[in-house]
Amino acid sequence: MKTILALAVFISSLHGFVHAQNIIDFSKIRTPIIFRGDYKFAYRDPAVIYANNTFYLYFTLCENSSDRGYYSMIAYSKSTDLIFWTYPKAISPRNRNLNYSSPGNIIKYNDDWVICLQTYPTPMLESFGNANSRIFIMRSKNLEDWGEPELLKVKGNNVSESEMGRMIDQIAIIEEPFAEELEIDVLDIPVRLAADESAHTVDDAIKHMEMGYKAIALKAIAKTLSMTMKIAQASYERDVPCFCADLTINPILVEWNKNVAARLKSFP
Amino acid sequence: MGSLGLVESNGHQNYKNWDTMMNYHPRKDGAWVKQKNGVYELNDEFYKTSGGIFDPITHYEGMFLPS
Repeated sequence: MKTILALAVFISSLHGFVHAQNIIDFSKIRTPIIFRGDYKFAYRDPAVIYANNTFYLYFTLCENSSDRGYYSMIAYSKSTDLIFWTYPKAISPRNRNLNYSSPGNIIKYNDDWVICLQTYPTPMLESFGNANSRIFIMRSKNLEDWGEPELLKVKGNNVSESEMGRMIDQIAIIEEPFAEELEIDVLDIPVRLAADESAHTVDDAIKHMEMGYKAIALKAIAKTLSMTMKIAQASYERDVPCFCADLTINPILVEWNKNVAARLKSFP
Repeated sequence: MGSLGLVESNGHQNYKNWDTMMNYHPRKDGAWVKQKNGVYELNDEFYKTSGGIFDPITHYEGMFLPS
């Protein structure tokens, strides 16, 4: 298995990317290869974020072992110019019963950076992670020192880890990444951002669509069915897709959302 | 299959008494009420009754004093 890690990785800090375009001399980058794999090591699943004038690159560091098995770890490297990168440093244990791997996106939540990751256990020398593969997060204050992995109980607190089932390849999203009052134009961000909490009225929704939001989260319970119909109509006229977001509601209120969702176009 | 609307639903993950709350649903036995493999299969009855959202809901009405 020979893998190269290329520069064509997703810049998950979109603000940072715009900023970086102004300070990085891309013409000086002579090769897209950052780390070249060999018989022993492979570098996979890159995820990069730009913060503190530095690119932090996280990836799966795979180490082939002599018993034909392998170990997977989360590792990182950093660079200020996209040319020189620090030596990879593992931030998760070398343990085949866990095989932490596949870092997802990195988001800032309050004072912590949060990274998504998975386990991919191969204790019997399996090629793929076994049924115990699960999804975790880790937290950091500085993008370099990370806490212990924390299991994400994505099926609710009442479902135990053993009952959760196999799950891999996680990605976290933030609904409305900016504070409501900021009114930042997001038209140049090359991903679909959804307006959610701040779309109180049809006028708010229209304003957000004009600011570049490419999806609207409808909340029929919070905003009323009447207002939701108006927002859905305005979105339809602008070819902006909608979906119905829950508020952890009771079963009959789920029917409210179903009534709205039943009349929406498919979400792209 | 035509349009397939997207709806997030997480109450069953968060409410301890979800099954009890389901009994308050005026059309709890409707074929569309529970998801099947992640899909709510809406039928003619759902569209005729709007899923029950305009039906009397005895449990919740009982929380208010009669006028």
